Amino acid sequence: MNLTLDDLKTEWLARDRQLESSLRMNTLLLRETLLEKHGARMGRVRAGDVSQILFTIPFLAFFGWFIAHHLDQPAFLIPAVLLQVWTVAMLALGIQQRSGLRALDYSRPVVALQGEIEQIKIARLTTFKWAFLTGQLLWWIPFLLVVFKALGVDLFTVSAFMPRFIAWNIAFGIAFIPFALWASKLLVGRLGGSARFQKFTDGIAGSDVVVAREFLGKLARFEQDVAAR
Amino acid sequence: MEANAKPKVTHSATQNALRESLPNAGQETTPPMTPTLTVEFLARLESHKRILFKVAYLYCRDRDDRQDLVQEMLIQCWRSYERFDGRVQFSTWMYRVAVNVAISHFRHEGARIRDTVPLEDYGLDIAAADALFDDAGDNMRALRQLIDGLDELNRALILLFLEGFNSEEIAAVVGISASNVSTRINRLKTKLQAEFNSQGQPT
Repeated sequence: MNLTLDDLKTEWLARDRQLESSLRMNTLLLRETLLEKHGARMGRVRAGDVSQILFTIPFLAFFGWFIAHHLDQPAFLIPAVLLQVWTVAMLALGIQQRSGLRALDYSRPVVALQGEIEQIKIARLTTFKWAFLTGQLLWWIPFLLVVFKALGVDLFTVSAFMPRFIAWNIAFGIAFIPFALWASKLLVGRLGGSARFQKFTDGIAGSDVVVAREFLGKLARFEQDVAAR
Repeated sequence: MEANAKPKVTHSATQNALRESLPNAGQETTPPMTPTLTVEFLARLESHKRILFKVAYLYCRDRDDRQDLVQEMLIQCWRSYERFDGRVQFSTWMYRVAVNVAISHFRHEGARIRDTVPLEDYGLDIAAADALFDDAGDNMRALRQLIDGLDELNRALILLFLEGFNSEEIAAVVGISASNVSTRINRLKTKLQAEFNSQGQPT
């Protein structure tokens, strides 16, 4: 038997005609459900944005106040500025990426929209990766320095050992970045147990980004005019 | 093509036709969709609802996944409808949205957590349609086998070809040139032929 794609098309169109009578739609119920689902979804989206802003405001206010009062003390000013920059950057990137996802127009041609989705995904994954790697450094010793100083305690002068402890911790935090990147790449694909942990290591190692970039490459190849080659 | 041959539905005609069947139309909704747009969308959906099922059929083998996907496509179509400006036919627009959702769904299938409700609760019953397509003859099984071997982008091409779109129309949905579409469709035809020649009738 010699079956062609045109034969399959005939078969497909024959079923399509039967499909019309098979699919049943209750317009009133559908309308009510869509409205209800939309309301619930929008509520969650708004709650996500508002909660991130509300959570961030106290930190921004605190670091802002601290910076203003320690302009002449670089040992405390620098960690506070770094924490402030980190917090502002995370808030801005979070809002920008969420609004980017919301603004996606699914009625755009397939290749264009899929490329856009993949770019947003790469940006989100990269943000997550560097938020974790820099966050583990900033939200430990620099944060403690700032908080204790705000409470009137200068950690550098608590004991003779403390400056060395701080220096070693910061050095360790910096060294942890390449180590985490290396370890994550080593662990990618080797953890059978926890899907969440696997996802986490994929995120740090950047393997999700690799997959997203590969798909972007595939889209580009698909877009190329094969007839012209 | 049947879907494209439908006369363009005007806002007022749809609204008037459906207001009678929807007693509370216009009394409640939430932004961004106005009651008028929702009523209009549902009227258009009624005549094009098959698109959702057919796209889902080509992208999901599992029945539960298919239901999830139809639900996602339905919601995305509804949410996107306010951007529909009539520059392309409604069927073309709907294929774009549905295929875009299907490709995203297809690419994240492993990571998804099912949190959807039965599709019948939405007012859309696809059980009979499932049965129609599951009760497949040899040709449909051959088609299924061909589709299973294709990636997410080529599935879109096959779907639109089967639907009777010409190369220009497929190009408008997918976003590649018409000559590219023709070449790729020809390759898929050759691929299908080669599979038949090497295996005989697929089982």
